[in-house]
Amino acid sequence: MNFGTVWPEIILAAVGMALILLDVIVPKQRQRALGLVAVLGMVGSGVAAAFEPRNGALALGGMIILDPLSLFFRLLFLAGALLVTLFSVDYIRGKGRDLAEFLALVCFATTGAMILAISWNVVSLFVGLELLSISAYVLAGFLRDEPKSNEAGLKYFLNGALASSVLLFGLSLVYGVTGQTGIPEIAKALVTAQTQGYSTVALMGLGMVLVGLGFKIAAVPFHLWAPDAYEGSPTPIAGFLSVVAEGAGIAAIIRLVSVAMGPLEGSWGVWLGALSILTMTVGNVTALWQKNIKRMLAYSSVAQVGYILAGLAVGTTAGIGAVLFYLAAYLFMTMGAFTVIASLSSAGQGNEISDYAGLGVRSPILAVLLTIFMASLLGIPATAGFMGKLSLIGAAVHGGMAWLAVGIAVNSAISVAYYWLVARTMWLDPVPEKAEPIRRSAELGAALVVTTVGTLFLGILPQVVFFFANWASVGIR
Amino acid sequence: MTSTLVIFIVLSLLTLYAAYRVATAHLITHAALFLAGTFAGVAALFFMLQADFLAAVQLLLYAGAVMAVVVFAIMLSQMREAGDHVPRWVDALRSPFFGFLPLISSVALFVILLISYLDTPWPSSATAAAVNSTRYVAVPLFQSYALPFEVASVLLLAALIGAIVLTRREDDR
Amino acid sequence: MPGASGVPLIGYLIVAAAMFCIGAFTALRRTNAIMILMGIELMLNAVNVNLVAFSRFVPAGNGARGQVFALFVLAVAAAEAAVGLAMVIIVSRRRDTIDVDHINLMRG
Repeated sequence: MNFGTVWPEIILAAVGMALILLDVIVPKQRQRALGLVAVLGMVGSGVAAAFEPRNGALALGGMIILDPLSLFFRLLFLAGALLVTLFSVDYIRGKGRDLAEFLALVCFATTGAMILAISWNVVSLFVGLELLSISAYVLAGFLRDEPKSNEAGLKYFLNGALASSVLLFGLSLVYGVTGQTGIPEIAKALVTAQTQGYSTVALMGLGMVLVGLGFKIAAVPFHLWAPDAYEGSPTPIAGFLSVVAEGAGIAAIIRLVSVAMGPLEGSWGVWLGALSILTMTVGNVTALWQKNIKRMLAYSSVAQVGYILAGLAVGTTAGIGAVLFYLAAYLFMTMGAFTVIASLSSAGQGNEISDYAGLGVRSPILAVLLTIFMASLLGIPATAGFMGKLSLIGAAVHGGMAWLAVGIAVNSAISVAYYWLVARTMWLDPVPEKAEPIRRSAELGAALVVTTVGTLFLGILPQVVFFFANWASVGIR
Repeated sequence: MTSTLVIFIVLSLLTLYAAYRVATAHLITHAALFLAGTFAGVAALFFMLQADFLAAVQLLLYAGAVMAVVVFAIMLSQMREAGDHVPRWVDALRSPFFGFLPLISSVALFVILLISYLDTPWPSSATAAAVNSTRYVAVPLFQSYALPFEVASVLLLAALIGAIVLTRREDDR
Repeated sequence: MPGASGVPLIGYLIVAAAMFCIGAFTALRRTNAIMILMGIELMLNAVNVNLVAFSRFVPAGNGARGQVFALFVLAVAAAEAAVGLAMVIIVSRRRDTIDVDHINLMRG
């Protein structure tokens, strides 16, 4: 047994445990340094991931696969966790909570997401998903003294646990039909099982797996927990949920649905497409009348999940490639938006959209950055979001599902309204009288620089990431 | 009808009855009691399936540990009623959203599952049972499933830290 | 002891399906957080009955996987119960209620 193939995960989990120990040793005033420890651990894990083989080799008894897709998701989740760490240092200390425990749970959750993404077996995939989920429940409820955070944690937990049981029941049916837990073995066994009269039960299994994962990624109609979880969670965790937790759900859909159950006959691609249209429409329309900016971003990320599902519904290599590119774009723009929100709320500002009045005067830099992120989420040219939507639309048209492309275009038009509302409030509304200037810390500055550069880079020079995403999507089966 | 089948039917009816009582109990303590009964019934089903090791783990972990945690939670949250406006059968049906929807969706799910099960040519005979069910589970667990096993230990650590982080009072430090 | 051979697979499957649906009903219908959690535990038990039953009936050589899978489900369920009940305790400490219909500070 050679555990050298999971060095990135080992490093990250070890850093999580080290943080708990360091919490006792490092004096209260110096706890800021723990952020640096976590950042170094994540960078080290990323370096280790880059040195792992990526030729599609199986390792650890066939539990994991080291293909370009594994590398892509490992780096994506590490980047997400890194940004979360950077902008939670001030936020968590400002709330008077223990930074070490917070960062340790972020490390554990990211380890789970990475294990999920590299899994080539449903058992390790499921255990990774649960490591991610259980850590994320606690993180959502981490601000123990704030009733809203309690509520976010409880609701996220109850919905997540329900989703896990449905997912598991689906997986148990798949095991019953195929006798296998390995992803490629399931795909192979399903081909013969279908000819022996097992296709109904296999489809039931697939349906329940999709419902369970739909809950996890907050696809409509299983999205009702998302706004509460986002609004009540600590702001860095809202970013974590929308980037890492949802990205992990997408990874699970790629591995379980597109690969393991790919051979199943039936028009489930069309059903997934319908789910995608429903998700983006409900997300965008509900976002129109939100007054709280975190809640608005929650519905906006429900809509973004809808766009991503469109690429999965197409299911072609180009479709999966577009999904991966969109996830990378989504990482930078969503994290950027949440970073701006977190830096404002560290400075004592509220999360209502009306609190953003006159931000263009009070803090022009933050206002410009938030405008860039919103423009990218909307899909304005020269931003990452534009390139992402373009590739999704292209994949849908080439994959013979042009109606999905129309759905994405119409929904982008709807979403102009609520992004414009925020921009107008920031730039055109008068400055409130008692507004204070806003200061930023080094960590927040770093997070803002990374997300802005990422958003613009992917918009102007998308080729590198495009190449990576397409390379990762070619060999998934 | 063999004696095994009779035992199975009696056992599963008892288990399902306990589960039904969990769903309809008025007092949360009663629900917890019947939940323990269901767990024990499931353990007995595992015995019938000759999965002795899992049956023992089921008894220790569910009927023991999980039940203890549930009872602690009931005590600490000081809840006696299982819920303010819960299940009179007739009232439940009257309330449009919370009455009908869960009932209809769960019954519909059961019917769909039943139809698809009946429609399927399941293998008719069981394979030979393992002589030593502990070894039967342990060998794959520590060989090909070593990675999920290690991840599960990190998971338990995360859950432990999480539970402490959430419930510790500041003045305990 | 007589083996499982007397009982057909579908018997176990129906018991598991019924238990899963009773659990789902409890989780969806109840408003008390502890009761919802009990419903979820019922659903997870149903999953395990399914897995263990299948493990006896799938072709020999594939059987052990189902039992190992069930063992992982057990471990995860225990972890979930611990975190979930911690969450319930912290909410009840602040609010005097764990009725999720009354836990709604956020709307929209």
